[in-house]
Amino acid sequence: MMSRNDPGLPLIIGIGSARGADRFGWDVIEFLHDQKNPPPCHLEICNSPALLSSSLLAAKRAIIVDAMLGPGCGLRWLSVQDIPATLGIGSVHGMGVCEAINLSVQLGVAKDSVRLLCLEVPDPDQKVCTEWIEEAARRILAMISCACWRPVQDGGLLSP
Amino acid sequence: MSAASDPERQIDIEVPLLARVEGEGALEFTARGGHVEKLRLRIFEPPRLFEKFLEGQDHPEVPNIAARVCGVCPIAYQMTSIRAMEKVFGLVEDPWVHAMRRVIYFGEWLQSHTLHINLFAAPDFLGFTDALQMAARFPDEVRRGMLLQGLGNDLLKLLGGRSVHPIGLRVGGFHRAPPRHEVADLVDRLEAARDLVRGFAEWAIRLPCPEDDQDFVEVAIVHPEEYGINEGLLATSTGQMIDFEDYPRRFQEHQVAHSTAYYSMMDGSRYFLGPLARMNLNFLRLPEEVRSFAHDMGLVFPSRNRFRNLAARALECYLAVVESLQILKQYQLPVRPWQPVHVRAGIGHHCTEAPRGMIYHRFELDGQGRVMHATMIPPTSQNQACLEHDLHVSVERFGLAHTDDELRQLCEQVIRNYDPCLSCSTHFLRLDIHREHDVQE
Repeated sequence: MMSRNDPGLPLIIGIGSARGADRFGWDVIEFLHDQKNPPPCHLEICNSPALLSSSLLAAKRAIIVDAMLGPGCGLRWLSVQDIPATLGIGSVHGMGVCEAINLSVQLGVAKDSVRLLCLEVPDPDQKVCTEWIEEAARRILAMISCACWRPVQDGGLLSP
Repeated sequence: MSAASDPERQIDIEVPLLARVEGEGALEFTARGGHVEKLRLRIFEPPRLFEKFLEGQDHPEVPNIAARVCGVCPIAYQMTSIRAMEKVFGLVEDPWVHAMRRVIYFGEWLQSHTLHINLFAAPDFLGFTDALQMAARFPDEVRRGMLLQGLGNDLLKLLGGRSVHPIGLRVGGFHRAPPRHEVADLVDRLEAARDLVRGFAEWAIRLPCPEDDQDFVEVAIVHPEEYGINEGLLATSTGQMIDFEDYPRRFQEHQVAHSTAYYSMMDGSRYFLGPLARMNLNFLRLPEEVRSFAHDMGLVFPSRNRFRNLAARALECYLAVVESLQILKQYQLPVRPWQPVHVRAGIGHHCTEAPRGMIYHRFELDGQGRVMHATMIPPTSQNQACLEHDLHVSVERFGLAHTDDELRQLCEQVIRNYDPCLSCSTHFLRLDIHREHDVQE
């Protein structure tokens, strides 16, 4: 039987804040947390990318859930290889999600052990739909239920 | 001498937006004919109105709202408001609650200090442009800092329920006493972290530290039996002891044109807060293990070198692990993790030590325990006058015969040394330099 303290369990970490589309990461974690049968994983929220690296270092596998600005509107899987070294815009503390992930990789986190599930929105004030949260949770559960950590396949944008 | 470092040149460094900071501010630096004309940190963060939000709220709501003031040090805001309200209700802190409050505060210090040393300050001291570059050269050191940062988060979660905007604190104590097995897990991790934090502190203390002694007045909480955090009196380096209730009489805020943050003065003069101020005024209250380590490292407190803020932070990380371990090893489940309060009207004042310095709250409550007025004075605004003075002195000592990049780097290092909430970043300055040479006959 699996213990919830098992360090081998994947980490699902929602990053963001309480504002606009940025709350997506927190909403997904809350949704997963409130499931009748919570998934076999560690759930965390994080409010600053600068705090992300320490969590990634402690995890065997991790899915980062975040919102990102883009032309489309929907969910996207990204791998570490998909993200730039830096976006140059940083965040609180001068470190953005890209920098935090790349720092973790530099410190020994395997690139293939990290996935990003992003909600792409054109407007930071975009309201987060329940459908996105549920779909994100479904995709995360599908990913962590695999015996092996599947390669990321972009499922395309999901319109609400 | 090249024109780029001619001290007589006109220097006009404008940083219109201090990017990647918590808060919004700018650095303005102008020199002409070899003299600094303007050197100031302009804070233009819009007012956040939390004190107004709190008006009319019932006292149990206050801690959760106060936590939102700062994502980096929510415990400081929660704890200070809780203690101010407990004073209104005449509540005397229970020993179990007192001990657990120290533990959760240590969690916040450990998380905040390791983050600051590891990712934001150390690259300055080692000459790297950022943490990524530094991690390529010092991967083990950076990894070690992150493990400690994670431990700080877990101390926060133990008593706060979560590390982001914790929800475990309440007026009277805590909503929940952690079960023994959770505490035992953390005791094991703290034991394992003892060598780790010692190594981390040693590395931080050995970073090349500029010699920059200055004369300044510092203020920190002191307590007769413990390293001042949550209880005690305000002490100054001039030997004064000030009750928290006297804060409004001794400390005054005023506005300046270039900042939306108030400036704070003590009896009309600037003052210095933060880890170095605490260490200077509390060194003898450190556990013997930490004090001996400081002696072994050749550290002497009080220190007048403000760059020793980094060493003080490192020692406080060590303190956080050692004292949390000591408290949690003796952990007993309480009958109830909170004390009942008897609501009554009144005014309460309290100060605690946030990671970056002392914070003051004043709460006025009505007979139903609703907030009538709230005042919350953060460490960053209290430090701002001192920080700007420090910038002037440091630039004058460094001299203007340096390039704009070197001068900007110095200013950034001085600012980051305070770990202010508006600039807890590595290399946050987006530069827009206008160079215009004066014609000097």
